[in-house]
Amino acid sequence: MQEIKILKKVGLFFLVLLLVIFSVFPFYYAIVTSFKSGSALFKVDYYPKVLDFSNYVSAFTEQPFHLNIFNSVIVAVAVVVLSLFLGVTASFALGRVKFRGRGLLLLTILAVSMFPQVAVLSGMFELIRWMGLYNSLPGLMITYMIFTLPFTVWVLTTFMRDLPKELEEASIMDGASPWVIITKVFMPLLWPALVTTGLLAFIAAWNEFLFALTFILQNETRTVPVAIASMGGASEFELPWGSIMAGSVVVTIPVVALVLIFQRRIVSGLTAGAVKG
Amino acid sequence: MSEIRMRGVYKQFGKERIIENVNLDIEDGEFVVFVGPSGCGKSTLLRLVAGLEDITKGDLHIGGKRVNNLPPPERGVAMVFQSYALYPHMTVYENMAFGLRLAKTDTQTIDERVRKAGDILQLDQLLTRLPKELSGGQRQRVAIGRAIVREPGVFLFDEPLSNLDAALRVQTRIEIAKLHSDLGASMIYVTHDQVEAMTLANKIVLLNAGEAVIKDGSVAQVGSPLELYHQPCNKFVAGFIGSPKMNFIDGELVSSDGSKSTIKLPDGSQVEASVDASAAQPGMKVTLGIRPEHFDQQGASSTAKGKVAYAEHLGEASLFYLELAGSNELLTLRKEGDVLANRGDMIEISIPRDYCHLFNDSDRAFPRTVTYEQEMLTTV
Amino acid sequence: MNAAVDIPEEKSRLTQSRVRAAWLFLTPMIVIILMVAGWPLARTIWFSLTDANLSDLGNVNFIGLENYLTYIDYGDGDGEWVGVLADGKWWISVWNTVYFSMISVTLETVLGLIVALILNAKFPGRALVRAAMLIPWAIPTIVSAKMWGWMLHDQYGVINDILMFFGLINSPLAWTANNDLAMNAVIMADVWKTTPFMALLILAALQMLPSDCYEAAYVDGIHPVRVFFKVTLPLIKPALMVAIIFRLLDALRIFDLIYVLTSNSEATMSMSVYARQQLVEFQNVGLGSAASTVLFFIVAGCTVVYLMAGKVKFD
Ligand SMILES: Nc1ncnc2c1ncn2[C@@H]1O[C@H](COP(=O)(O)OP(=O)(O)OP(=O)(O)O)[C@@H](O)[C@H]1O
Ligand SMILES: [Mg+2]
Repeated sequence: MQEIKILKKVGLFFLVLLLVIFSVFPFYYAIVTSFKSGSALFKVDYYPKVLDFSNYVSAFTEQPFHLNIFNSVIVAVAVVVLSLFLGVTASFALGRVKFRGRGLLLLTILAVSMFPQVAVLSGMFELIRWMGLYNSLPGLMITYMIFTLPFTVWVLTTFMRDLPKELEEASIMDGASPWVIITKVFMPLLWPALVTTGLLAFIAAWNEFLFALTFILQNETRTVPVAIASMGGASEFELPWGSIMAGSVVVTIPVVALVLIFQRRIVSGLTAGAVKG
Repeated sequence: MSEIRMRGVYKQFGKERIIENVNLDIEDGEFVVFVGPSGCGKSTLLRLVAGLEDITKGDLHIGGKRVNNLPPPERGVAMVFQSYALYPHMTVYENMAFGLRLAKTDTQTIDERVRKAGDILQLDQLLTRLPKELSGGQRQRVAIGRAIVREPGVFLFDEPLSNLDAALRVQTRIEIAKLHSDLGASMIYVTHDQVEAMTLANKIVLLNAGEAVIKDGSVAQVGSPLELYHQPCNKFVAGFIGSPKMNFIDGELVSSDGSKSTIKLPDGSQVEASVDASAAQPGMKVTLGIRPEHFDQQGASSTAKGKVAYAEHLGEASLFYLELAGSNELLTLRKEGDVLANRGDMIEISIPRDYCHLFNDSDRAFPRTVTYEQEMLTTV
Repeated sequence: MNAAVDIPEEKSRLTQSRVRAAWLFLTPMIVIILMVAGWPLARTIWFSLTDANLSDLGNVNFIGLENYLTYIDYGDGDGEWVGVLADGKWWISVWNTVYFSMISVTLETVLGLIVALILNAKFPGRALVRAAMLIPWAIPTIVSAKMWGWMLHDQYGVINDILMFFGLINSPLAWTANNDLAMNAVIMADVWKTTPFMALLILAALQMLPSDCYEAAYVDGIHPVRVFFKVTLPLIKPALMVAIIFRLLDALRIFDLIYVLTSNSEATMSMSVYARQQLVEFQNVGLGSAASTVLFFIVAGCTVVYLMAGKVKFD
């Protein structure tokens, strides 16, 4: 009996260890690689032998990587702010007011969040060209609404719906308008949900590739994913793996840090995002 | 002045008919309690008055003005919720001041009113606390304070005490009664606790449930607590008010003059009741009602013997559930003090004629010929 | 008294103003959704019926369904079918996408279940492990594509190194360049990135299960494997189905990973990659839009089937 118990424990331990290695190793290996240069790159090492920062330097000198990071931050922050603002008010309406067509509207929003991005590519291209926003950050901000907005609205609606009904009624009795209810009564209760949703929207915008690849032409205006994807060497077969890994590490660390700090909230947000069927 | 008049008030949720044809007058300063079985629409009726639900049909007047489509803050009513519904991120002070702030009351008035309410409710030491730092009873008082500061003509309470423990419930009940006499405002109070209803109300509104709502409208009977207790207008009211429940024995009307009636019981014996059943034909199926606590009163026309099926000893009284010959329902008997009797013992009961209720074949009560004032005199 | 009330309810000013406020709050969102989703989608569908070219979107002619399928008659009994549906490359990309979606979602579900069950056990440091598992999900897809590209490098890749160390292969494999292996590489990277996400969703469902079922089963001495199939699986099935369908819809539109990991290789080309190639690289907006439109209707069809089958409620 005792032995079986210990065996079970050891088994579990190894499974968990395997799991952690499986999850973390690729990123770890990217970090290891980012500290190697020259011919060291072409030898497989499982731990850093030297700390060589030259890849980090070249990641920022070979292309305007600092601008790319800045662009990504600007776009992601703007997208988060805009979708949260629109999402909070819309989710109040969808989560707490009964009106005709609410179910249909929710259905549409869910459907939009499942749109294949490529399905709107040509229409979107025409639209932002018409608005004069082709090859500009505001253009990206607007196009990103297609995935952040439905998602934000959907998640916030599930949170909104769970707020106690009597609290809202008490504020109605106190003479609060819907706007006051949102800002003075619900927002203070919703901020954890806002942090979660905002973070998820941020990550989605930070990671977006297809639109950024298609709607931006210049190196200086690119966002991080496109910049990394297009880091090239003299030929296709001589990719600067060291710089690519250095760049990857630089843009991933903030996201990973955010995710680790807010991990509990993120999991709850992801589960809320999935429909309760 | 904030008297409330309801005329032909209906409420439907989709196809569900919840409130039917309510006609009710609540005078200024009255304390009205809504009671009824769970799910009968007490909260809904209260929320119609508050303005939290739309009235499907009918008229609601508060203070002489039709308020059907006035939003809640303009009706001069304030509501206290069962779950307190305090704003969790605001202090006690801010909770009470919130409504006044929204109404753009000047700061000094707000401060005066909040402090006064704090004094009345003994919250003055707690004004800077957050709701989560308060006990259940204190939270309930803040919720009441939030209503008081708005100086409404009508207070609405929806089961305000049901989340409190027994002792606190009694204490807060007394405080609410005191508040009513101090403020002189009208109050409507929803509860399913009979003691609360009987002790607080000037007027009880008992609501029907189920089929009866469609047939007779939502209101089963309106009256003072003692009226409902002594002169229930039908079997439902008679059974609902009073605890333990009134006993019902099926019988057949033998005869009736203007002042008393004779009823044949299932075991063949006959009893007299001080009820005017002259409107009915002899031979009609009737139901005889008598409360468990009334068997020992004087003036019995006949006696019967029952076998104790089981007994409950409460200390101040004992309850016995009796099997009666010819009837398959148990009869409840309440005797003051400790009465020792066990399962299987035979107990003799008498059926005093002045305490009998009689219901016709459609469960309406025949008028009793003894008024309850007389009845009380004989009791004292 | 007994008459049923059929007259419409008189809406109070509260109700009216709430409904009005609701629409006011919704309007900006609806406008933006219409602008960035409704309108572009409509235009894409329109373009798919025209001969639009990327260099000049202002000058388009309606050509009916020619972009989808049409027969060009060369006279003398000779002719050929053209259009998306007649393009072998399109059908390859359809097959690739379906193959990728099926395999990767299946793997992710099974592995996700296993991982969730492991994480559902209590052990010290569980929170830490759970945090570590979020890392693959948080890493930008492009970054993970590059990372895997590097790890799967034919000459210097660590995967080959490990496999050779364990003697599983004799010589390095060209994972991304070899047409037979490229899809496996893509699936590998995708499974790595998405399994944790799946696992966390399933774990959330597992943790909401009532513990008394298990205690009852434990007391009855039922074998844990049986308990899993008879109790756990049926209970988490709704949540699992939701997770699977979301993943599936996501997989059907895959673009980034394939585009970066195996670039233009036909062996891995997905429908999205095909559509974008037509649109941007070949500038053939008409044909690209037709492909996009077909993809859209496939995804929409799956969604509708799911909604009907799952009876999702929206109130
Ligand atoms: N918003 C609503 N939509 C549909 N039906 C409702 C709604 N609110 C209440 N009901 C229904 O109306 C009936 C009366 O509800 P109400 O809450 O008024 O009962 P109640 O008398 O207060 O019961 P309780 O004593 O349990 O609090 C119930 O059957 C309930 O299901
Ligand atoms: Mg109620």
